[in-house]
Amino acid sequence: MLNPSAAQPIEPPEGSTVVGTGKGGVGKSTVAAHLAGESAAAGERTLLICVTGQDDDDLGIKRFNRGIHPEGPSVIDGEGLYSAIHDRTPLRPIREVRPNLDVMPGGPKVGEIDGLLMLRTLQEGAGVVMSLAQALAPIAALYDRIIFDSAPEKDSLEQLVLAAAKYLIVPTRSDDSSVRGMERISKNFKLVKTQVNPHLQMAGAFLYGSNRAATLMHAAVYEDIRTALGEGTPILETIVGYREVPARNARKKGLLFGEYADLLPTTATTYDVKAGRATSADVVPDTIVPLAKEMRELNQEIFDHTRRRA
Amino acid sequence: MGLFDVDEEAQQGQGAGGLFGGGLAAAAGAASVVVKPLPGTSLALIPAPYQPHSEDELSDQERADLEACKAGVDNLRNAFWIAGKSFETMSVAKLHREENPNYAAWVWDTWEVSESQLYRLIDEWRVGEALANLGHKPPESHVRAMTELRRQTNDKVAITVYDTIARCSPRVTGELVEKVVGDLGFLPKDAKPADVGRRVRELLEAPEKKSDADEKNDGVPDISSLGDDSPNGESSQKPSNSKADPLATKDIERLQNTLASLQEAAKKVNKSAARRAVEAQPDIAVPLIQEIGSLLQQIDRAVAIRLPKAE
Repeated sequence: MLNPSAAQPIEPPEGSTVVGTGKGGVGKSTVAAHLAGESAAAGERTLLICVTGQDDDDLGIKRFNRGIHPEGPSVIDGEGLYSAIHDRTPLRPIREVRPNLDVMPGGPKVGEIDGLLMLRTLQEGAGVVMSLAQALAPIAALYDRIIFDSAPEKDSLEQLVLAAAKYLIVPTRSDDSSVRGMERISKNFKLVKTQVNPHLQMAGAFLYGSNRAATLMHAAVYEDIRTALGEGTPILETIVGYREVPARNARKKGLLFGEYADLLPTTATTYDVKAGRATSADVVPDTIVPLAKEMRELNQEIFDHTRRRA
Repeated sequence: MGLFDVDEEAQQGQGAGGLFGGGLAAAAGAASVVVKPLPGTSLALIPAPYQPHSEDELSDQERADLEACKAGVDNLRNAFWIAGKSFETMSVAKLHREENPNYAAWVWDTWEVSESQLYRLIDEWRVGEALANLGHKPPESHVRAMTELRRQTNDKVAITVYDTIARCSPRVTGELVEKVVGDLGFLPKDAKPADVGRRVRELLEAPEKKSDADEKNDGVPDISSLGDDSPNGESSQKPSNSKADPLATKDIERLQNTLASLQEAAKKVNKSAARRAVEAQPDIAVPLIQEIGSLLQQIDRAVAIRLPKAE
């Protein structure tokens, strides 16, 4: 940490992957949380860094006070991320949010990083784009995989994340604006890759939250995506279907889809609810099973793609 | 050309926004981004002693002073790896060459650090620094307890072992580190940290799993408050059916065991005994009393959570 030779280039950690999007609301945070959870469940030491102003708390850190919080000031609501960048100190993640899974939570304070970096850019130059990479470097070696959840709110925040990672994956919805939105993130991708992080690679794009039975529509969407991305960018095959009820219930309980599906054998029935022995929140919908399965398949496909690119 | 295909020539200066908006040449200025010392690692950040400002809650300044002083005391734990890192840097860069070309002799003359201690500190600093960066405060003895493990494998495995112990146990002791290292037995040179971490978890969780299994045989069905509790074992804000949730059950057991231990301990000590012990053998009694106080504070902090209002 007491490193006066910070000018040395920082090679991003192996397996560090950004989940980024052209526009909001396409399932980026959900995918990032599940990727991190899947990796940790496989025994890999995993760090999830949420560079997002809006933290959905998919892992129940805030609502259920999960994990071992570091000593000192709170790191919730993006405070930890902000203070690491502001004070130029190593990241202090919340440990053991799940076995092997540590998290730097996002939140409103992340929004203030943009102003801080802009001010520093005036004084120090665009090298401040390496700030997150430098805060991560002292702890990166312990992790087998680092996942970044990167919001499309600000170019500066997206660049900060892309400068610290090796791979980018981009979820998109089937609508035109989502596909076209990829143009925005591609600009930051190319800028960061050519200026500060030549190791950065596009690992793939994929369709998220779409009706799996709509195969004809998917073919047309894939064609649009292929036209936009060109031949050089892989397009993943797995599509996670749109299932609002189980996804919402799982998030409300701060559980990943697989964890929520594990509760199915002990679910209450509507009969139990009518008899007053349980509440509707105790009923686990059957549709969580295919949702969990598809998400697991998507995670595996993403891991395979990043492995192949390594 | 696809959206993410990079054409370096065309890229120069095109559409630069965000942090690159001020001109692309500035990107070379990465040198100016330096990492600041942690609080307490610089003497200037630690305030000189002063009288209490009040008997009320700490002011913001007092809180900042407290953090700086705590970090200052943490230096006791950091000293060995900071020294080891400094020794290695001076040695590799031959920074001693003007004063004495013989490094070991120069170190002895300057700090009375023997050659064996010198190389031990150099050997240990990477693990010490990495663990400190992860928020742990291992004394040198803990890192030393992993020397053989590091020789067999590498630093990352040792860091993983220590970090896993810290995640799974409320308190890391030298004895526990030695036990885990001993139980791990011989590890091959190419042992994967993830596999070793898994093994450490198994070693530390084995006794608890047994009690979980016993609990599950109670035949009580569960239908309520599914998933309200953390998969990691912390309690949720609302009470759930603890009998049916093995993780919540484990938490209750932990609390019951802690209470039982404290009740037992309370029977064994009183003020007169403590006073007599300090008067008779202060060199032994004082550290013992301090350790007891520190553990009680640790427990106090652990249970200082917001409790639900009584209905």
